[in-house]
Amino acid sequence: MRIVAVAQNTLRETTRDKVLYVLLFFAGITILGSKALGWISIGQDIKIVKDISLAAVSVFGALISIFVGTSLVYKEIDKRTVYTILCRPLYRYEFILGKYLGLAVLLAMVTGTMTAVAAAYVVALGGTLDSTFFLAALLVYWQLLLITAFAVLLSSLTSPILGAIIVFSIYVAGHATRILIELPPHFDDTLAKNVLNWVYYLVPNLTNFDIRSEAANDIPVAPGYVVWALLYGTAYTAMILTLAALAFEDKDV
Amino acid sequence: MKKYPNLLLGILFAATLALAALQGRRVDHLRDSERFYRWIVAAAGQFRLFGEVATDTSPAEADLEQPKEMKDEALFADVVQAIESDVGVPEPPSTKDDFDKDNKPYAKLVRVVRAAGEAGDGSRVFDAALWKYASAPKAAPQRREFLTYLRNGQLASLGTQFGASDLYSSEGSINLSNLFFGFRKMAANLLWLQVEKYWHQGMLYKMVPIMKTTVALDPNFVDAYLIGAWHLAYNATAHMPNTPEPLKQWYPRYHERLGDKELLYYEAIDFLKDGIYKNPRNYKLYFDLGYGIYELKLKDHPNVVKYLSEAIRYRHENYVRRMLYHCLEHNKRYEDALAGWEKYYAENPGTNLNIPGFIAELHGFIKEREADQAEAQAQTAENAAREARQKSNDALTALGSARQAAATPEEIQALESASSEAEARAGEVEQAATSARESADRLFEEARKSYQEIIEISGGDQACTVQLLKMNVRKLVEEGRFWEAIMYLQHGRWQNLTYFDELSDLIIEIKLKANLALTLSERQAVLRREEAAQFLASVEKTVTGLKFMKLDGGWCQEEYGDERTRSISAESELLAQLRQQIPDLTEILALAEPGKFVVFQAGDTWYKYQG
Repeated sequence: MRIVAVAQNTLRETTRDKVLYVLLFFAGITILGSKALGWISIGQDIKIVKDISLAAVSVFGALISIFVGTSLVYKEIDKRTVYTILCRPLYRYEFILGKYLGLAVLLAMVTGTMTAVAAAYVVALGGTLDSTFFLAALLVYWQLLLITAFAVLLSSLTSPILGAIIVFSIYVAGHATRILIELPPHFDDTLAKNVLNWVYYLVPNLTNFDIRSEAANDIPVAPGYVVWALLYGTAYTAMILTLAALAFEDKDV
Repeated sequence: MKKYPNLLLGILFAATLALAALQGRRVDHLRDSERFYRWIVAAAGQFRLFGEVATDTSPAEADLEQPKEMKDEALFADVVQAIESDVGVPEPPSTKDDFDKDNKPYAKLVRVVRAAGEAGDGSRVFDAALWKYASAPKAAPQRREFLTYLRNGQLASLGTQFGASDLYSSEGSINLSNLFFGFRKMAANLLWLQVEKYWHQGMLYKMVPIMKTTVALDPNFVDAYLIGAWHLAYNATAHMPNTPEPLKQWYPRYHERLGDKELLYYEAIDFLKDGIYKNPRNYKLYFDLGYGIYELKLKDHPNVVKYLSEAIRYRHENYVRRMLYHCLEHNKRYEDALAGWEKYYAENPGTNLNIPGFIAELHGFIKEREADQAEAQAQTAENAAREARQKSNDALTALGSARQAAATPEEIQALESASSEAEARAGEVEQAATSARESADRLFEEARKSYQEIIEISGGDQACTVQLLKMNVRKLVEEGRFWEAIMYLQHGRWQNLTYFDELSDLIIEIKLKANLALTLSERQAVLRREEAAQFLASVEKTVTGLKFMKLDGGWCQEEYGDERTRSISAESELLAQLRQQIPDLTEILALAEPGKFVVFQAGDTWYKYQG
């Protein structure tokens, strides 16, 4: 109940954030403007609109979670409002979880809206949608949950700007983790390769949440893939949130 | 929690990290299994379609001093063997499509993939049994091999020629997909826009590599393949004249002599085939390859039927079937086309297409073919009748001579008997010939009537009009009324412009047969043909029963298709061994003049001998 109270407050607070609306505005422009690229590419409107819409959901969702998430806890500490909360009967981890859940609900609303707009736009343009499109959007949301967990972690450790830079770097690196295991042949049987193999499984692989290509090209994904990717995201998110709770537990507030 | 918050959180952290890592492995396993599954589907389809798994490498790869060894065939054989004994993969119901051209049943894998592809949603869902195999632990050795070969770019059946590995060094230091941070397909879209821009600027040389990069970035971008091939085969060649034979070159890769224009058609074919390797269950690629290139550009009817028949195995639009039936007709497979149209009409009774007209037209073609066969039989019978009559006359002459020479009564009796037998035989054969001629004339008339009816009903069906015209012309030529026949054709070719070239060729044929004067343009056409035939004779040589084609640097056996060759020289020990294997080797090696080479086959190996 206490977590829900914090979450409700966080949701109320974040919906008042101007950054959110600026980013949503640009996301809308990108989705609706994707048709312009379709025009100049013979017969490709629908594919390009689907591609760009899902990419917009992913990119702008990530920017919202980074910019809003990294200032979430920091702002409370900076404005000293956190003292009025922590002096109440509330565990610190509950505070972190409440903050996270509030932002997660906001992201659900944002992602849901953007997906609905994109879907309506595709249908209005004469395209068809199958379940893969919505599964792709669901996995984008799950990826945003993981990014948000990082943002909350960084928010309790450092300043919003530094936090945003680090989370953005994680976002970029998370899409390129296969570099760690796809090393040139001369790395075969070396210690470096073994170590990097371990690192690969410890670092979240954000491409696991990417089935946008399948959605845009109407091709099926492997049976059970979405479920396993969701479980993968849940486990990593839980891990990062635990780390955030640990960090905030030790924070001198 | 209250007492040891950090300890509990630490344990939770470790547990979730372990769980996440394990699930990460599971997700990776699914991704790898999916790639493996897709390769199995692609390779099995290729095996059924081409009789082998594609092992073509890119021209750039083939030019390397040590090209990579492709592993498709070995891996495919492994998978075929594994699936053959896997009871988890059920036997699909057998149809005639499950047998190869020698009437041998295909391997279970090939049959399973065919049946799954043809199932209603074959191109949209995973085949459960095959997926179970591809993702199972027992398939781990093959899956591992597959992933290794995939990483090393040793799987041509996946379309290595335009694969990402071509864009970077052969060391494979960086995987292309990692460079775009999840936005690889967006990059493909943006590159595709560049293709459009270059097309409008007329920069074909810039377009082609970008098209290839686009599909390397997004191999499922089917429309990029379709439009790319269209640009190559149609737009780029629109203002290019057909290449005269002497300017063409022999391309072992395609087993054809091609000029610049014709080469673009084959590049379009390569491009579409690459799309098929990567999207084996997309009908559009088969349709464009079959109809767009083989039918409309190359007039290669057997290949048209092959690819359109494949297209209709998968979820497709109705027009694909219609084109297939038209092409079956062009391929003179009238009964198959008729069966197809009848089925189509039964399934789409409300169609506004003139399908009864197509059916009637096919009945007309079948009648005409029967008339042709009857005509051939009648001619054979008439020849036999002439011979029998000649024999009878000879027998009578011999009898007359014998009587004049006052032969013995026994001899005369024997000759009389022979003469009457010959007369009787001649009578029988003449009667048979008359009956065959009547039958041929009747069928001919029936075919003509059938065409006339269709023309009347349809208000001028062009195909039937031309067929009727050709039948009338043939009759006139048989009667020696050449000028009338030519006048008919002259008029007909301008009325039916689609058949202009065909009818013009017929005019030339008649004029040459009747020894009539050719017009200037007809003379030019004949000269061009003669020049081509003469030139072709100079670039082809048959040595010890093997045909060799001339290349820039020498000669190569006709069957050679850019396979890897083993170099041999005059001093080589191998040459002595080969001499024992091929007794006429000296004659083949004589083709290699100083500075030139000859490529020939011994066993499964191709050898290159430098003169």
